[in-house]
Amino acid sequence: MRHPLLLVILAFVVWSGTFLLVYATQATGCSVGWHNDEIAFWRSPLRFILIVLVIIGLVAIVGTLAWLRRRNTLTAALETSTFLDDVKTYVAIGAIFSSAFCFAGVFWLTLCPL
Amino acid sequence: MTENQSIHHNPIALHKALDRIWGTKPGWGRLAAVNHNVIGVRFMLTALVFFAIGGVLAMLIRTQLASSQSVFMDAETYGQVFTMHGTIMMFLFAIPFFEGMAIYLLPKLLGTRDLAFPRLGAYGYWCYLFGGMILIGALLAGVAPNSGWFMYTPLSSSVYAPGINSDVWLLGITFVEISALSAAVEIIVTIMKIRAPGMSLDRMPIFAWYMLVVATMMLIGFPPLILGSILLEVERAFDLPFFDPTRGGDPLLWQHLFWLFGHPEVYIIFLPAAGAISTILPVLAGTPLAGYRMIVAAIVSMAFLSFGLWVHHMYTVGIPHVALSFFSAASALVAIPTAIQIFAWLATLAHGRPRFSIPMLHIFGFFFVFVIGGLTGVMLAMVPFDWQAHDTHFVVAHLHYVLVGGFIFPMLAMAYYWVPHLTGKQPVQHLSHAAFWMIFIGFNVTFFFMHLTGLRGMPRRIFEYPPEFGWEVLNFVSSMGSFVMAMGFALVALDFILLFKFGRAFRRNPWKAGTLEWAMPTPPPPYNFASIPRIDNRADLLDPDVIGPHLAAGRGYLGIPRDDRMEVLGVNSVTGEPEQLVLLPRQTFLPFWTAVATGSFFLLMLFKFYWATPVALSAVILCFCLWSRSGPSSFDDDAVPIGHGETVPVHIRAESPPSYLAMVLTLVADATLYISLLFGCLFLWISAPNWPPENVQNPNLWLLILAATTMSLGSLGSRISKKSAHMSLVGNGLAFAGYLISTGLFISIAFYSLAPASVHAATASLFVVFCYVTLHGVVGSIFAAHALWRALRDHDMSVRALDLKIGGLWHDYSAASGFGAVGFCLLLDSLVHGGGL
Amino acid sequence: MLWGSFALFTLVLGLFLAAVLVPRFGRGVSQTRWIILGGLVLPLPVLTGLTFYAFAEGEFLLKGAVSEADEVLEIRATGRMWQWQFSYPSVSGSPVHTDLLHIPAGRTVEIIAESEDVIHSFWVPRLGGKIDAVPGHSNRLRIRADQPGRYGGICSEYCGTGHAGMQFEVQAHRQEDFREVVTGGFRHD
Repeated sequence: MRHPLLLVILAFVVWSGTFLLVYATQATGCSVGWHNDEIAFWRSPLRFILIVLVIIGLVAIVGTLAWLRRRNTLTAALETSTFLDDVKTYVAIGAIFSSAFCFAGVFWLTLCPL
Repeated sequence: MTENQSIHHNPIALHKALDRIWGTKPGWGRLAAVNHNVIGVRFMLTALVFFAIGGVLAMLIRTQLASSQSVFMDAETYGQVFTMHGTIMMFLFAIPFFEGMAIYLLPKLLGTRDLAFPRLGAYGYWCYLFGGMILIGALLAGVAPNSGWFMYTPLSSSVYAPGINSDVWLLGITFVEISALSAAVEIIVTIMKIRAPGMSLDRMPIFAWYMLVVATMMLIGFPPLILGSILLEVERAFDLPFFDPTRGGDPLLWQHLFWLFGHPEVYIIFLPAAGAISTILPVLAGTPLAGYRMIVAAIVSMAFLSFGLWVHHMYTVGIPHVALSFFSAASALVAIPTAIQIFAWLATLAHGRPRFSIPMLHIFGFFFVFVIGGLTGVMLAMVPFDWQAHDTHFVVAHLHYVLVGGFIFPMLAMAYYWVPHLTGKQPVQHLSHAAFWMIFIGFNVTFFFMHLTGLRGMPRRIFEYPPEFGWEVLNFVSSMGSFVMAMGFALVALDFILLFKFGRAFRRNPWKAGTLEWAMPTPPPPYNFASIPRIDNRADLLDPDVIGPHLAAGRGYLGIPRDDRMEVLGVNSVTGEPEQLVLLPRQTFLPFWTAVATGSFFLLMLFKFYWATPVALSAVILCFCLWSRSGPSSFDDDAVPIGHGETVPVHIRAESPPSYLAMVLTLVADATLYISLLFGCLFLWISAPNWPPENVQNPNLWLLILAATTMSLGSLGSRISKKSAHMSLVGNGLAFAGYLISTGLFISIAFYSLAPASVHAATASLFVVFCYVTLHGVVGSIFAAHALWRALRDHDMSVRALDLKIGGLWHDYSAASGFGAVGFCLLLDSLVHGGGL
Repeated sequence: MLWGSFALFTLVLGLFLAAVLVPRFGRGVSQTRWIILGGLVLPLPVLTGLTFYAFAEGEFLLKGAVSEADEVLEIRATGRMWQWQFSYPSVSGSPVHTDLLHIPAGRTVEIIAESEDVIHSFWVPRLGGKIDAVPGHSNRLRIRADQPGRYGGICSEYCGTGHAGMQFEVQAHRQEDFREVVTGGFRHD
């Protein structure tokens, strides 16, 4: 994790991980039937799991941004460092927004094939 | 040194000395060319030939569809024609063309003399040429692929396509993709390591940022396609049922693998073109590019988002709505980074004094066409709209708006902008305007009306349609438009021929650009810069008119050629400070022969001489082993002077040489393939019918663990071998022995301990995973054997340190892949026998 | 969507032409503001609105305008090179119909698309929606014809040389006639 370019992409790497995890969980859940049983006030445990995963992913990306902001150390000349700090902040904000936007559907859309 | 002194500050003498070292030899020596100028131009010219072939096929399609129930082509011919049109335009034109452009331009924009791995570039070119020739040969022989350019199985499987057609696609395209992957590695390493001193990340020309992102996307995007092609070819050739639903396979696996490559591919094609616009447009506007940092952030975000929308090609395959929503939202979101770039360009124009020249005219064409394509793209990203428009001519119109708008028009803009650089001549501009308007009008007539044809219900890929459906007039209009467009392209070709013949010469920097490629003579000499500049500003805000003569006089770095060596500077990837002297390999026939050996492997596979393929594979490996031999051999000094009183070590002794990064990148691509394979097999468990398999015979667990453990001896051995010359023998010997045992074990497990792989996709998955690990063991044993040989022959440790470091990466990865296979086997076993979770 | 696209297209092209042709156009707006306004403020609300509207619309289409599953009539559509076969599991005594699909008008129909060989795609343009018939899978699509009549249907996934000819017809009948038509007891014309 020492190379600054890896820090630039870090937030979106977390987004990609969340994406894979949520999609894989959804497909697995439908395949083994987690969407049918009812638990408590949730219509299906699968939706509950997905919502939890999405929230964890979102928190992880926001945490990444916070961590990146605290880590703004001088890796090179001042100009290069501020450039990299700017870019990684923009990218992280983009990743946060992307997470909120991409996974919003888990709250109400049809989970599994009819 | 007396000869060198005479060269000093004498541009002509310096040019002659450098030209002798860097130039390509005439005659047969051309096959030994490794110079990026030569390779880049070859890539682009070859791609243009394929473009012309693809264009002719498009004309055939439009002729066929101009009237209902046309008798011009039958269904089979039409199938081959539209499949090859798509295949050629995507794989043999668009990607290789921008690869060629990047190979040609990047070293110049980065202020250096060549790419990091000139031989790899040459090898990539030959692979591309030979692979393309296989496809064209099949087209001429009438056995071209005929299942559509995305080769959906089972239509492309051996049951429904028993001929050689699909094999041509799978093998030919995989062959071509080798060149894409090698180009990706080469581009990333060059941008990271081989720049002009002082060019820190924030001073890189914007085009380098674009290409860095694109090459990384290629590195991750191509392996899934290569994996899919291998699995489908293995199913066709050896009956391993990955896609056969009756034996636990699933046709949807192919679609996922294909589009996991296929959608990023669109951005892989668009981004280099956008990079060219970001380079050209500020020059024509006479002002620096607006929002450099935001653009960099936008393209990085775009790269990631583009991997999160592949399923938008698969809205109708029965995936649940919530899953579609992730991909639909990502597809809509990807419009944001695009909008940021478009408005950064508009801001640049608004703040400059734009000159309306020919490249600007094509940029106008780009804006017009691409914006429409983007808007229809957002429409198609919406699930309900796509349910209606999917697989109709609306989609055909959309994708042509995106690809022609996002690639062809920018490509023409850059052609008019950079051809003076390539030829040293300026255009006469009699035909340029007419050619542009013919292409522009012809294109819009063809494809705008095609949206309507699609909305009226015409599916794609039908070779005839009944007259009463009311599609005839629209189709006829489209066909007429396409002929106007074709004539426009012919005019462009004529325009450039006239330019080559009658163009007038110019002195330097005709566009008043601020980038380094104009700080050299045009046409460029093979070494680009007689000496290498130091950059003290962003690399698109420089003054080539001042820098050029300064460099030509040898006043920059490496201004004195020595010992006939091809020298460039390697820099710190962040700060751009010089940290090593990279010695490049001289001209050699090896890339050509290696590509011939690789091609013979693919041809043997194609014609089903499977028994002979090990010979070809051995030839490939032997050729690659010879590559390492011709490396530089004498390094007497840790501190080589590079000019300006500075000294750096030779790359072999440097902290992070280019080849180390290249190995890391290769393993990233390799790991992507492996992860895709494992995920793909698990996908079958979730999605495919006929699971769990009956009576699966599991491999002996202890045998498997033994195999993986012996394979990790390679990793252990490589650690031991780094300690001393003596330990090197011990360590590499241990590694070699470990590999021999483990490959033997893995191969015997794959062949004898499993049920026959053709019985069920589950056993086929395990079989392929074990074969993958075995292959890594074989390559690892070659690394170990090579290191042993070097240890016996050569006692200078520092020379071998680099080899050991690179080999160590491979050994560690092989060990991980071995244990990964054990874990996968256990997981699959518990899923199958535990009845799930 | 069409008019919105047209407005956005005109806006972007207008800005391009104005920036190139009109001297000093847009110079009063700082470069950063150009990018923020055009790259974020303009597209974000449009995309958000459109995406979430499309989600809601998608849910509506998925459910086929009904709330209870038992209101839906299931029909099995099996694609093979190069014809469609329709069978009616819930109508006893109904034969298999080739390239002719009978549906009741005014009632939601659930098509169960399957394939015997390669991938086909069931599509009736005027009834909306499209579903692939993938071998090894049963995919479902709900469609509804409000009026009796004839509708053209077509295979929309390339399935080999017979793809262009793989057309079928949908006949929507009055609900009271439907059962008889399907079992073959009723001649429509």
